[in-house]
Amino acid sequence: MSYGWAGNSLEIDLSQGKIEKKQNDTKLYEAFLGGKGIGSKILWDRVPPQVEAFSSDNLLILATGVLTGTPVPSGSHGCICFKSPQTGLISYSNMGGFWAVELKSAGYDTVVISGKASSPVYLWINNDEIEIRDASHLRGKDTIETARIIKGELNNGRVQVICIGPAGENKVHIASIEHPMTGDSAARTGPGAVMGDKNLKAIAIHGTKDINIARSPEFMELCEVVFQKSGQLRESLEPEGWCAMMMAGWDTAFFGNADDKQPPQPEFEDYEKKNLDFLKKYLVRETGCYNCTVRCQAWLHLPEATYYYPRCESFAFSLGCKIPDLVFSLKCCNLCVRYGLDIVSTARTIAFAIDLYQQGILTSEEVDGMRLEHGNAEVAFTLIEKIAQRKGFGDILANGTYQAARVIGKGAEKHTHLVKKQDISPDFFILSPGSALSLATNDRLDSHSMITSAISPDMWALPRDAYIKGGWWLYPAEYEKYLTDDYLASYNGIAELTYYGENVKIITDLAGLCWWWTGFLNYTAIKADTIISLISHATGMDIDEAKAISIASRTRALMRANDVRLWLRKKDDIAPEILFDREPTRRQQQLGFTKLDRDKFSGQLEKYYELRGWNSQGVPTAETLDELGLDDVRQDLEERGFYKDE
Amino acid sequence: MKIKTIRIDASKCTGCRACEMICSAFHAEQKYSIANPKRARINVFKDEENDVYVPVLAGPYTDVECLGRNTVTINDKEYGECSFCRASCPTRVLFKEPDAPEIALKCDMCGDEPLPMCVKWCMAGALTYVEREEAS
Repeated sequence: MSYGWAGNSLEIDLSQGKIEKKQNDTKLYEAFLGGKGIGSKILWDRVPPQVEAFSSDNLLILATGVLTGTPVPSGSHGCICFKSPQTGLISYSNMGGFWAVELKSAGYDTVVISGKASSPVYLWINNDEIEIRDASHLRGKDTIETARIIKGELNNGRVQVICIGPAGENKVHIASIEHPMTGDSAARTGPGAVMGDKNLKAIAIHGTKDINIARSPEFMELCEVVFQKSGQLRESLEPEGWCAMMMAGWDTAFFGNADDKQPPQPEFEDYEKKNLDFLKKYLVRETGCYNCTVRCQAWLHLPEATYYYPRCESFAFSLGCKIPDLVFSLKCCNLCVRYGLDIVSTARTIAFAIDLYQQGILTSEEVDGMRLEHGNAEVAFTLIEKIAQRKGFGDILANGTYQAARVIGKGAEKHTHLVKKQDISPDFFILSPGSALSLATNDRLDSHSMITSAISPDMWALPRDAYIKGGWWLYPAEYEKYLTDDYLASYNGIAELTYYGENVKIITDLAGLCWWWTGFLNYTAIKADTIISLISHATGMDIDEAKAISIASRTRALMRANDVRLWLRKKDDIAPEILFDREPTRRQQQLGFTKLDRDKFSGQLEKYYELRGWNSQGVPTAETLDELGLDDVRQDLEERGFYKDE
Repeated sequence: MKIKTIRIDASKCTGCRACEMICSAFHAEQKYSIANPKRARINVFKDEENDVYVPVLAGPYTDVECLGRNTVTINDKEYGECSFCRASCPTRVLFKEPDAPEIALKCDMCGDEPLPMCVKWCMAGALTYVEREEAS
């Protein structure tokens, strides 16, 4: 019997129509636990650098966490791992909801999908019965309709569906995989495009099997603690709940495409009150992922009788298009969810297009006769559709700002704000050194979950006492020493905090827990020691903190080695130029932020490399890889000449 | 006679299914050694598109299916009566052991526990426990 893990995985070859069930290699799961750990190992072994994102040899890997589906609250998450068409790097997207628990209940920790189907199909996983079914009738259908039709034809209300919309089918590089009607998506870096390239429209899952706990009394005792603490966390957010916070993001952000000189427009300034009033008026139900006490999702019933979910990034469209109206933002989000588009990248791409038009780099003739102006909702609605359907000018934007700028030319590149070819979300136009270092180094690139949680004690520039009083977020007490009065100016400790925070987020991810309340800003319900004990009790393994850190480091080193083997270099570990060059907004100045300092940033980057055991070029050293049991990775990098100068 | 009651406020349900999870774990042969919502004695009926979330507690077993079926209309959408039915019956898989469908599952209010586990784990307050006196 397997404890914690389901014990099996699935291999699906869509080219051959082959389905294979495999027993897990126990050693592999002990070394990487689950999620992106397992995913990155499989990608390293089986997707060599020459394999393009849109190749039948690229893999789409669904990987649940070791605690996914166990009784621990928020144990609902799974990871989707793949080589990204947007960045050309190894990537993953973490998604909550119900699908990952269902997959584990069906008996599988991991599903590896290879090949390409010759016509649209969907995968039906029903315990031991696996079927590749025709999906030609679902072609062009939006994500919500797709899930509705599949649930209907399988005649099972308890089926969980993840699927792509038209954007994924059209291989739009910024396409998402959606989990319709749950509010969850795997969106960043284009997983939907990889799924679309495989002609895989959807995955439907139903499982009825047990997930076993090895040391159940100890495990449940800790679950109770997590339950109580996360419950208190939730109550502390009453009455407005989490969703209010989700929409409060433009406090420190730049507007438009961040290129404008002017400070925030006055109508944005009472956003907080406006948001709250809006929520009170339209909120009909708060919802959440499987077994979650916090319920961060919300249904809003807007006047035109349509339901919308506000997302963390809901305001991205308001900022990008300079339309301070939540209804507008939510309509855009809803369109993105239906088409299966990443909200952040879509909003940034549209902001970029408007900016280019305003600067005279794009003319009306080049954009299908449109006038791309700020403050015009129709511009956004039309461009979303054009991007999803790759229509006209939308075909250029569909590949994200990095590639679009290279097609457009005429200096368009100067108007992109990227980290490793991925456009960053407006909430990271924040002049916080900690956020910048995490943005520059972490393996998820621009990820609001990773960046706002793992790292940025300085993000809101609070005084030292406020952090200590707030339980010092996800950090253990010995990290209090990094909270000096001048941390914003000196950058001291930022590398250490980034390193520690990143490790905690990796462990959270391998466990399949939600990133939010294992450290999302100050909302931290549990710290790393609790997660580590939970993993030990669930599996029966004995993992202490040192071992857990080494598992996290192994995952990180492997992903890094793979990205280095692709194209990543030290020069790419940098926050967008604008954060070093642009004067702070008025609000940012009030909070004490200044432009980032290149020298201090570089000093912290080098410190981070040291902590990770990477050399001065950001390549994991031979010793680090050997210590982590990644000898084969060391050998591969050696053969490719990465250590020849040492 | 004391009657144990679970009061369901469907408007507060968030659809998280913590109730299903804890019910299955509590009723495991070795308490808390498994989690499997499909073995729960409670099932959250969800139709998210129409904002219908109804936790349904497993009621008595019946070996005869209903002869007449009603429908329930909520917000203009029609649901089959089975959606909200508590019975473990021959027409459906709900409220039966998944591997042994001959074994029906029925809510036992968690025996001697001070609170039924689903009530305890319902952070949203959709499930509350009420005792009422009834003449025997």
